[in-house]
Amino acid sequence: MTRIAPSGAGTVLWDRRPVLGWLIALAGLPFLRPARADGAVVEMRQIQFMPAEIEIVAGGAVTFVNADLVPHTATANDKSFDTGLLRKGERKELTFPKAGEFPYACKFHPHMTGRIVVR
Amino acid sequence: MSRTLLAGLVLAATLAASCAGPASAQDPAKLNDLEIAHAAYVAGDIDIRNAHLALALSDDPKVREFAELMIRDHEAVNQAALDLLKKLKAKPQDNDFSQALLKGAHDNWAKMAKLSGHAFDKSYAEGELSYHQTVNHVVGDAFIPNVENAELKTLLGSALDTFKAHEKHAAEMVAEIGS
Repeated sequence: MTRIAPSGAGTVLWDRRPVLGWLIALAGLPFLRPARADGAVVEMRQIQFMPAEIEIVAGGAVTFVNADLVPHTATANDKSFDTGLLRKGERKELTFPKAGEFPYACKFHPHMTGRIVVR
Repeated sequence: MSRTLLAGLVLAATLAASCAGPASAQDPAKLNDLEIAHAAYVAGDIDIRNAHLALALSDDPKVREFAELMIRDHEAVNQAALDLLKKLKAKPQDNDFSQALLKGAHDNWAKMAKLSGHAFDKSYAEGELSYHQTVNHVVGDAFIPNVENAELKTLLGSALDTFKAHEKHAAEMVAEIGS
């Protein structure tokens, strides 16, 4: 909806109310917001972390799920976190209270590496 | 005949040639599902026993770490195979290929048990690299293409991902231990 400015100067003004309504509605769509921290999942599959890199917000959590036949860990290079041994089908949720970048690896399979970025 | 399949056959034939049991090793590409399950289990079990020998005879941290990995991973894969067979109410079938693998392993253990120190570590590392290269060729080029049961095929595929990581790790161990 448009309206002509009362000044009569010919300027076309947008009625902001419906626009604001759309913005509010769009803000409710999950793909436009940062990933919910408690919804972040990293699968251990095919001797890889999938996804290998994940970004979450400070205070959020990541759930590691072992979908492989063999046991894995997700262990921070700086030892700031460690899932401990996870067997097939097991999962572990870890919370990341502070911003930073956290490279990690499986203790057992050193080629299996990943990175968590906390904003 | 593919190079990889040939490698598997050469392994089996070599093992069978030194064997007083079966007259000849079976072509791994001609095994049925239950024979494949048996051979895959035996191959994993051999590597677990290789690892226990390494833990008994080696003080090298790299060798001991690799051996512990082999025990942890191959036990997990073999347990998954047993779980699947139980679910399918199937019993694995012994076969010439499995027997040739076992005979070769027994001969190898007898030789390895006489070694110590660097000689043992080097032999173990090189043996693990060679073993994983050969087993990965057989699993990837003979077992997976020929197995009929979909769940066993999936399990073998997942196991192969693990064994390829082992092969890479073994290659690094060989390089680190040196000549």
